[in-house]
Amino acid sequence: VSDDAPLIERSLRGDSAAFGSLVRKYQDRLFNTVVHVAGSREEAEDVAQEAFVQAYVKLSSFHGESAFYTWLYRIAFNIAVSRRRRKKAEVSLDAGREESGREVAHDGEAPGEHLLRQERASLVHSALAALSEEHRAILVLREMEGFEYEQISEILDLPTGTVRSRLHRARLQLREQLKGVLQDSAVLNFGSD
Amino acid sequence: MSEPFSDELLSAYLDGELLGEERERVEEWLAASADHRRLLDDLKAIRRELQALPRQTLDAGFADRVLVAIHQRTSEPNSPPSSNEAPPPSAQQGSPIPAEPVNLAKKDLGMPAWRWFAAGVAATLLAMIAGINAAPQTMTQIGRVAQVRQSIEPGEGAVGAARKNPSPGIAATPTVPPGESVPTPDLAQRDSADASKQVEVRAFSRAMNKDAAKLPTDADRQPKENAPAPPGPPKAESPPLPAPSVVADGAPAAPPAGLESADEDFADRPGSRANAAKKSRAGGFANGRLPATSDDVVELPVTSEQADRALAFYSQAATRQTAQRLKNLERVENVAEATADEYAAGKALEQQKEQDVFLKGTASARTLMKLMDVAGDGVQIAAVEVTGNEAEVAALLDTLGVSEARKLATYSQVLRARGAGGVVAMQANGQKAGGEGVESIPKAAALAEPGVESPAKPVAKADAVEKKVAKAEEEKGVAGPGGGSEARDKFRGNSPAVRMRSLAGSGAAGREPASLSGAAEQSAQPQLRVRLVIVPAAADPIGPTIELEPQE
Repeated sequence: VSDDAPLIERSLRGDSAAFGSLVRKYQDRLFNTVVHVAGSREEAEDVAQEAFVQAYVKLSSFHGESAFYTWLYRIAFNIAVSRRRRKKAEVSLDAGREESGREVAHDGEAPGEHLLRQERASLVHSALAALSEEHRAILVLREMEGFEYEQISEILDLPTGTVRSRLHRARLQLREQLKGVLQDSAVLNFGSD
Repeated sequence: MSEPFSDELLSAYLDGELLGEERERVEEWLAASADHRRLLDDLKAIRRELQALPRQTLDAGFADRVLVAIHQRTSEPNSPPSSNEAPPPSAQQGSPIPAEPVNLAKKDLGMPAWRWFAAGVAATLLAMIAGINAAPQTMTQIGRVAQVRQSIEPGEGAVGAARKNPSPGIAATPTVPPGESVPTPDLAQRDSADASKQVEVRAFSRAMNKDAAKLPTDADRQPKENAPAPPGPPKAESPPLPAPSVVADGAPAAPPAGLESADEDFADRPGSRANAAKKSRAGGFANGRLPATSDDVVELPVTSEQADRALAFYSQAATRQTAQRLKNLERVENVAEATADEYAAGKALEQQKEQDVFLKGTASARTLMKLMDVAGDGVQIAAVEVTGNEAEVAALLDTLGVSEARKLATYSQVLRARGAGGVVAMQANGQKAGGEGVESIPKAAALAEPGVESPAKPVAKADAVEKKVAKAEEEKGVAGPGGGSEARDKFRGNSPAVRMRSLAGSGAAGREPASLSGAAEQSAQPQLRVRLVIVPAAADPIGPTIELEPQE
């Protein structure tokens, strides 16, 4: 928070460079999360952009009680949810993944390794996409972004107890979805005595 | 145990959200029930799978588009900008967003706008030429070039901006605010000769520190503020990086705590890849010791040859997205051996936690054991991948001994043996880590035959991939799938089951029979590679990646 305070202060004074710095600082993390909720890269980019715009417009209402990033996330999630309700957009997480271009073959990587890794990511993506929006969102916030329950509670506007129970249900659902993957997983602990 | 089991508490336990009595209760449950432990393991596995997903990023022009959108929004008569509550214009600093958010070409910056534009283009060309001529010998240099490119190159940003906000010129203007300098490449300070390079790598010291790794700190839990800003924003706001410790070129640094006694049992074995690597290694990596210190910084030597390989890789993989990612990189560190995803994972870690590490080095078998010991108490090894030919893997496991090999299997479940004429991958796949199965691993490697179809359900998916691979290899002219499944069936028993996957081989000689004797012949050019991936204990979802591999 303290790192952001000077930038926020300068942004409030109309310093575009300062707000630009805030955007650059958080854009990728926000986008990487929103893309799982919004359903496609294009939609996620629109949501992220609108979130930053609204954050700027409402910046004077930000009093630093939470981290700027948490506040920004809350804005983004509200936008994502309302847009999805409006558009009834079809979830296409796979499309987003394909566009990400991450899963390129490695130099010197055995062909099987690449295919396995690609297939694995695809399965996880599909399983995630099969979850309900609320379960997907809470899983992404916790597992991929590492937010604490309290922060998730702020972002999603839920009581902490609800965060705990919903997160667990989400995990159980994903576990069910990924049953085959987990059985086949190289990292699944088979050594428990 | 009086309290009924609540798996919801288990989930909270995994997240480190339980304290005191609740935590103790969960630990009692775990101690009492294998089912509960299995559930916890599954939840951990789910976490790892999610965290292993590739991260997606935006292009460099996104921030400009946001500022343009803000400008448009705040220019609308019904949109009350926050600046209504901001100090009056006289008190404003910098460039007011409602006035001109990013289009510096329209600002009075001391010379006509076209000159700024021309200067930007010239700077871009110079940077590119410098990058080409210098043929960056380390990925650090590549990263610095990319850093400059992102700051001044319209490229993707212009395209993206045109898509969303067709305002020509805006995204093409330099994004560095007035008064703040564009970071310049440090190429001149880098010797491009063939001598070993010193590349700064931030080390994850917590992985070596049992106490520190046990519980996350508040700082750990607030990684967001530590995310390094992409290039372009004012450097003053960027969190300070740990100061690099200077390691004399070629001089070995002190080994980390717990690794002092890493010995050369395995490295000294005749014909071992580790031995060959030991002999050819220079300076800091002699004896296979990780030149980490208790500080947060170590330096690793990267030869120009390695850097060239990395550069070649990135050139080959220069898709639009890859190029874009390179542009987005703030800094590239010691990725001479890194693949794109490994590198991306490292960057993701850095973004999540400033002190995290993407560390690559070398290790002897004993060092590996030491790391495993450390990891057993505070961090968790997610996977250990041993790549070598059959004889080397067998030798490694012999060196480790059955108990250590069992530990390997317990922690990792991934062992791969790569022969010169083919790739044989073994994957333990069972519910228990039994001595028989573990001991059988080298034998399994020896007996594995390529292309055997798998009837077993849990491995059907992977086998489908194998078939794809085999087919692809066949199309390349490599020999087709081979013979029987006796060995495979033998190790796909009830418990423990060691699953072998035979990936199609390659090379002029076609598939080699995977046998210990054959492998011994192949080991004339040993290819042992140890890759160790460690994630911290459940309480901390963000883990370091430590890779250890002998260098050529």
